[in-house]
Amino acid sequence: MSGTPTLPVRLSRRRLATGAAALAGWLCLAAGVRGDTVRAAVRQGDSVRNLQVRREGGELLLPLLACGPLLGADASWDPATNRWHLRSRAVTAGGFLDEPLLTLGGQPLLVRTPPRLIGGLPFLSLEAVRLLGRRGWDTDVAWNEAKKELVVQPAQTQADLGPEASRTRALTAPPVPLGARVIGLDPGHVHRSGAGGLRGLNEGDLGLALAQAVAATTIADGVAAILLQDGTTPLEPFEVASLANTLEARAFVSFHGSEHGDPGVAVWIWGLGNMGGAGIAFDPFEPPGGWTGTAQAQVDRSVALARRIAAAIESAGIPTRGPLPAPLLALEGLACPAVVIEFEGLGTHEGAKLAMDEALRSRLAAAVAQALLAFAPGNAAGAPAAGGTPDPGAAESATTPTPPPPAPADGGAAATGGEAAKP
Amino acid sequence: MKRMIVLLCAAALVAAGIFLWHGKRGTAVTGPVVAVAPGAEAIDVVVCYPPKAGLEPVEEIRRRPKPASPQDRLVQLVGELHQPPASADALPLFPPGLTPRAVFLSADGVAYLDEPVAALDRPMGARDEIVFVRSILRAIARNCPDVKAVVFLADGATRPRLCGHLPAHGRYLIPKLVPARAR
Repeated sequence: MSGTPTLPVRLSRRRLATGAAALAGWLCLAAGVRGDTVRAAVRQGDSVRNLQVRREGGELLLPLLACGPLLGADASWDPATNRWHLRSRAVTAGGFLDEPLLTLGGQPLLVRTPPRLIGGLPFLSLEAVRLLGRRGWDTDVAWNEAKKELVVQPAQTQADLGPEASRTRALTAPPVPLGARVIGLDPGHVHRSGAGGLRGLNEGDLGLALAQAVAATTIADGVAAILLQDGTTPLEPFEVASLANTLEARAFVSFHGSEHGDPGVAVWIWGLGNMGGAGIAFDPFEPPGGWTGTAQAQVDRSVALARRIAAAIESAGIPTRGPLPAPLLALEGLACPAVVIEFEGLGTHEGAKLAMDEALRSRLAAAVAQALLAFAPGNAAGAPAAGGTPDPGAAESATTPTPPPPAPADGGAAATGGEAAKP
Repeated sequence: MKRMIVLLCAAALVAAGIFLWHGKRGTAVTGPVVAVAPGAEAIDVVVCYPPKAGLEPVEEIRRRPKPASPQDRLVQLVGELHQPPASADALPLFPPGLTPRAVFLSADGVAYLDEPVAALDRPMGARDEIVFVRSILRAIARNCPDVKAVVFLADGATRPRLCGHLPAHGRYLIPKLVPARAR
């Protein structure tokens, strides 16, 4: 051992085999990672042209500067900051190289393959171009592997862009007796939809039954309890809110159901902070004064209404929780005091038993109706709350005119929703 | 040869016995089986699940290898959240078999959780959706002190609603909670 020169690694058949396997693995990996340039055709309407794209690790990458013309935008990239942009008259998208987060009109998008430099030029993944095209430029970008062809065409279906993009459907407001004070009742979902439960229970049918029962029980001179949807045509929550605002509803109740939870009823109100009492806050992307702000302006009065309703339901012998705050879409955009009443535990034996109890439903409807009539303007003064004491919030609501909803971010057409906007 | 067959039969019997014993006791393996190598740094991951009753998330603690960065820790946590709970009082957060599309922690502390649309498009009541969000945010607060807010994305983009009752066109701000400590 001492003084005898030996090789640092003794070559045995086993070590040779291991080394060969490692080399083969590395070569396979390198082949997979190494990018290939693919000569592709771009088909856009009647125009067909050539484009050099890259394929790396199974992902197709398109030169940023070529993506601009594909989408009808100007592409730019700042090598000093690694920031890139795609801009057209109405839309701006951008981000940083090597970062998967993109922004499109202030909204975040996330891609699995971040934009990156290849050969000193920025490239976007096909996934990123598809996402940007679909959501920003109403354009579908598809890759045909067999033909090595990139097909760019106007979007065939509308992306789910939310209330801001789809407030165009014409709505017909339900008829209301002249001069009547409207209480808006919302079944929440259409027939056989929403959360499910035992014994064939479902959120849609339960909500409709409860809303109808409350409408039938809320009877007083000059008050009209109106069902804002009939359970057949699904309406978006903002459309229901638009109808309620158009009818200048003085109060609004939406009925829902949950598969899990404690048997009984929970009363929810709109709240951007402290969701469910957990300290969680919701910070919407929309500018201040928008659709979310409309509901926020009604929080104090909604709390007063919710307390009155919760007390009435509890007095009727029904397990009740709340009011609890949450940024529920069913309450967003409403320009009047509003609550959600939810039957919990439809998927539990005890919860389903309560929800299917006709006598309990009647008591619930009567309690909600009593609270609504006590709260509704004109009837509040002197009317005791279900708990037996007058509610200062109700008296306040009787004298406070309902403020008009603030204009939403899109200029206002949507806030009132199509035909419903026209008196 | 005869001896080998006898040994194999004995091993099979022992294996079957172990399997049956575990099955009878209802032992549930939760979370991906990630071996913590001897001597390697490990952390307790606090995973939170929606409760069947009430609003307080059900917490489960799993010993996992220590991630190298806050981003890796968030990725690890979201992976754990996709695993079913062990507790009979808890509900799974996501349908089985679905994995997160992408997870990204920005420099300003916003976590972007991108899920497949199928993970969010399912009938869920308002209460169930609220405890769904609450459980995820609680888990993030307990494990990822660098995260200040969470944005939920579906197939890479925001959408107006999360599952049906709550909005997704904004950020959910994390409440201040005591994070889980690395042992």
